[in-house]
Amino acid sequence: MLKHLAGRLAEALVALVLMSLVIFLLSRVIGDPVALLLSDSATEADRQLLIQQLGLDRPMWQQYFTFLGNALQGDFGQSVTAGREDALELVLSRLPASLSLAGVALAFTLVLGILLGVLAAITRGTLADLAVRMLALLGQSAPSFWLGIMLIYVFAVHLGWLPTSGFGGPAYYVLPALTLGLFTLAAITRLVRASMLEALSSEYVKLARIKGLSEWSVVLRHALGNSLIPVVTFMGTFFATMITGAVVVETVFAWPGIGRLAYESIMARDFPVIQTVVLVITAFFILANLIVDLLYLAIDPRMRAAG
Amino acid sequence: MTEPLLSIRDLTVRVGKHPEAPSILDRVSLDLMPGETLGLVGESGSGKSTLGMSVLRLNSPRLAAGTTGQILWQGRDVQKMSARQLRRIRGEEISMILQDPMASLNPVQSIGVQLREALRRSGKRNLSAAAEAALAEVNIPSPADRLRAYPHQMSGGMRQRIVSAIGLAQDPNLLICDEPTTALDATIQYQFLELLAALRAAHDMAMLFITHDFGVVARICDRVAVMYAGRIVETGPVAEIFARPAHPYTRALLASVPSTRHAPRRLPVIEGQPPAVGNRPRGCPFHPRCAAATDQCQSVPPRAEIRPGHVLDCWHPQEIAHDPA
Repeated sequence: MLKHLAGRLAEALVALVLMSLVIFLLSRVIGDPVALLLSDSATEADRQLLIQQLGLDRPMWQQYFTFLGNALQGDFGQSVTAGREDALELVLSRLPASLSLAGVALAFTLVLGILLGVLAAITRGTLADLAVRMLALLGQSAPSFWLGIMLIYVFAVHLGWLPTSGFGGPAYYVLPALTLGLFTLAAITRLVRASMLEALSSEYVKLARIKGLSEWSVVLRHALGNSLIPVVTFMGTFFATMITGAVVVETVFAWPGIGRLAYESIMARDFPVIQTVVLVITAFFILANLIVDLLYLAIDPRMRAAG
Repeated sequence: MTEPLLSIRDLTVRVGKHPEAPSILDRVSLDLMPGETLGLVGESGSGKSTLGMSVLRLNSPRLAAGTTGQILWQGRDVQKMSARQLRRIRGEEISMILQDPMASLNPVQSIGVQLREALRRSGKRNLSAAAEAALAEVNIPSPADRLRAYPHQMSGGMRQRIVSAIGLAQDPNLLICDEPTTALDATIQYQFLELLAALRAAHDMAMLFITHDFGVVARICDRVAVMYAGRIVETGPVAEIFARPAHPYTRALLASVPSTRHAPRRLPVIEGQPPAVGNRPRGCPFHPRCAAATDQCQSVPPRAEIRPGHVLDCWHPQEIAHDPA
């Protein structure tokens, strides 16, 4: 089991290093950093000086290792925008807003998705099941930019129940979290419904009924545990959906997180910040998958033996 | 005469509520006495598992909706019981061992949790000790360690013994065994049958033994009912049926069992395929494959008791002693 974990950790590190290489190469391929940093009135001498300062005259591999060395020390360069802020500090300052929004969205989608999925499975073929399935279909087909604007229109502008946008108390979370989570909610609901139906028709559930257990015990103690395994499998993917979805949702709701920062820095061609955002997101992504692996070990005894 | 423990009368199970829906079981009747072991023999698809499941009302909702007839457990109709009454019967009075030991234990729960869950319902006080004793009874070595183990860490034979321990945990009066040896190796099958026979004696219970294997019937059953295409075609004491099978289907089945008493030979086969549900012939279901069939067989055959306890549904019973050659 420890060996299994050590292996996963090594894989995670390799993935992170590879990602840094991709990001480095992309930043050298797309656009000229010197042109971005220099003002319009700069001379050729200024240009040469900057190239030397940045080390751009050295071979590519040397430049990569410099980049990697700096990154390891937390130096990702400065934002090219007027403030010249430290890129990493800028990203980290936006991180709490994003994490809290993704956390709220993930928590509500998990709780509600499992509830709805179980409800649909045990009422299979009834009106309740049909309603849940329609909701899930809608949730997976509505694009989030449209959904966000519609929610703002109905609940903030028309009814005035909730703030239109911005960052603040609990009320500010409702609409963006709903927008961010609806797709995942629908996905979890469908996943739980399908795996619950499979579990309910399994032999071990039959044996649980033969024992004379109540329907609640059968569903909660025997079927549910097994039907959550596929949900855990997809947790990494759900987390990724939340982060990539954050770019759109945070922009629509003027949420001061890294999603909106990514959007702003792309619009401003702020390469150091883009690089940092992508690396930080990658790091979180890898971390999420590591947590999924740990959850797996906790929930499925067959995995413990395999590791 | 004592009252039967289980009495099934004209049990018909259709796929859905519609009266014309295809039937899996067709007017099946049987009695089971206390302490008796009845073998239910038939090919795959003859409806024997559906019959076993019907007794505990474990069929899918569609089949449950299409169920008519009576299943009397100690005089009470199982079909009319409330969910609560039914739960009290399940496990405590009637229990069941399923066919596939690899699938019938919950993969994410330890053996101990699954066993104690059944023991708790019987009101046993020291659950850990009771669980160890239950495993020891089914010959599981070092039961205390096994209670902490998970199903995937065990062999098929061991899992099936654990399933039997769970089935017996509440000391039922009837144990339904749905092909419990089919998924096991031949040597393990034999051991498991020996174990079941010992458990039956120790718990003083009746058994409904569903199988397609006449060898298993000979080893463990008192009486046998032969099923074909959703009907019981012949019933009788095991010795009687083996010595004087009268229904052409039973005779053909017995003739196709390999024997060690004779030199190896080419086994006779029954020509054709058993009819699919929804495509069953009128009258005697076996007539399209039967060598003795006449036009008469297109209508429902009469039921007759040709010897004490030996009942069959056939127009042309063959009352010649069976030569198992």
